Amino acid sequence: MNILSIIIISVVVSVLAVLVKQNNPAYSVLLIIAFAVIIISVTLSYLISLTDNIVDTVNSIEYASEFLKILLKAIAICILSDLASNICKDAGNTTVAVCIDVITKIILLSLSLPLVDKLVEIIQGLFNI
Amino acid sequence: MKKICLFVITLIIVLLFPFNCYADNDFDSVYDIVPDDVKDVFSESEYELKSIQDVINIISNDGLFSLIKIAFSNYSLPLKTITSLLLLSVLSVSLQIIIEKPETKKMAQIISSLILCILLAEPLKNIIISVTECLNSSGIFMFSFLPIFASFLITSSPTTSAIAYTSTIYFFTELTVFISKSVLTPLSTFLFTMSVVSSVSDGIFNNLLGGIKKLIIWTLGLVTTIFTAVTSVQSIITSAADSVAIRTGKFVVGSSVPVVGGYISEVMNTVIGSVSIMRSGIGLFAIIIMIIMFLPVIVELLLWKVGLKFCQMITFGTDNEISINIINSFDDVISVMLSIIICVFIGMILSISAILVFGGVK
Repeated sequence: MNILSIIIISVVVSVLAVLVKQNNPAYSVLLIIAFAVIIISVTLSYLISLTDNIVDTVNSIEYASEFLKILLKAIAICILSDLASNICKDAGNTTVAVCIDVITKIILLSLSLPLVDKLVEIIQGLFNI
Repeated sequence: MKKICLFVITLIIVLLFPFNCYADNDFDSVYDIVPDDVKDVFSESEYELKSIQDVINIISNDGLFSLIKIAFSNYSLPLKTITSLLLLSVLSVSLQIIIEKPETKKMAQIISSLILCILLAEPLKNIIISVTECLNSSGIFMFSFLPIFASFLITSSPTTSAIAYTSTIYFFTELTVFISKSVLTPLSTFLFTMSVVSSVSDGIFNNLLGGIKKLIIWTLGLVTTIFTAVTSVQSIITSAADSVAIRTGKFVVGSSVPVVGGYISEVMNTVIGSVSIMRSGIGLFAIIIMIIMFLPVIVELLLWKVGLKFCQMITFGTDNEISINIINSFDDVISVMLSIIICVFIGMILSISAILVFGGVK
């Protein structure tokens, strides 16, 4: 799917969402969620091939690919949570959006804990030289 | 009282059982003190270093280039690592642009900075190890080489100043290597770790870091100045003509060598004079050994400097201050390491040439 078709579908979906919202707001939200799922699944194939390429390139450093995976995971979590939070806000559920933001931060913090451990280990190693 | 008794007993023992100390004039004894890494390079090449004639052969047949080539092939240059790190820094910076929310963006920035920090800290460990090993082996070489070198000079032209001067140079070489290895290298490691901590905690240690940096620069400057002053042969070995080439060299060194570029630029004439004095026999031997020892490490550090400059260029356009600070602090450590290595290298050249001058070599 090229960018032109994505843009056309996006515009059509947003017009439809506005039209549907006047009579049935719940269907409007469902329409947007469906659109988001379709777009993400379409772009996922591009992302997977891009990630594989990057991992292959940095494989020369034994420990790099492991951290690269963490970085990519963090970025993916950020993007998905942003999307979910915005959908919730559009639907008028601000509390749910805030909950998503808080949960995202906690998950990111737990993701970064092994990195902190590794950093402390390296710094200890530096002092032992 | 105990100390006096101990001293008297030691004195009596020394007087009763004197031992002879002499230097072997055979060139093989000089080759024995060559570090193992350098010996490996010679064993892989077609050249030998068993006599003065071998030294002349190496120079006249462009053997130095092939020796340097072998030294580089034995030494693993971090080209792949630098390229991968560059790619990662590009990736970590560009991926953050996708995220819009400031709070989530900050979290992603911290994670990417932590990763960048880990990826830079691991090679830093290897750099510190290779610099320390280079300083160690060069120190051991010089401590063994200087007495043998002095004995060569005494047998060829017996001058008392050469003997007297060797002990002074010996002391200062040992002091320089000791300061570089035991004070400056750990201090630069400390600089890096504190910079990392400071970067992720809104720069609370910035004043302390500035102080450490000043201390390192001051110590390096002092070591270079003392070396030039102690050798005090500037007037004797400085080449008379301050040609355009030398002036260009001074400018290049002053602007490219980090931290101590200014100091080295000032003693450039002395260094050039020293190298021209050492163009004979055993002096050349020392130059060959030192080039094989120091050049791969210097080139590795320079490659890191270039790689980090690219990393800085990539990150400077973004608002990720943590990553910028981490890359800057890593660059600082590399600069300090490079200046330590260059200082010790120049110090050793000056020492040998000073002894040569006082030994009567023109």
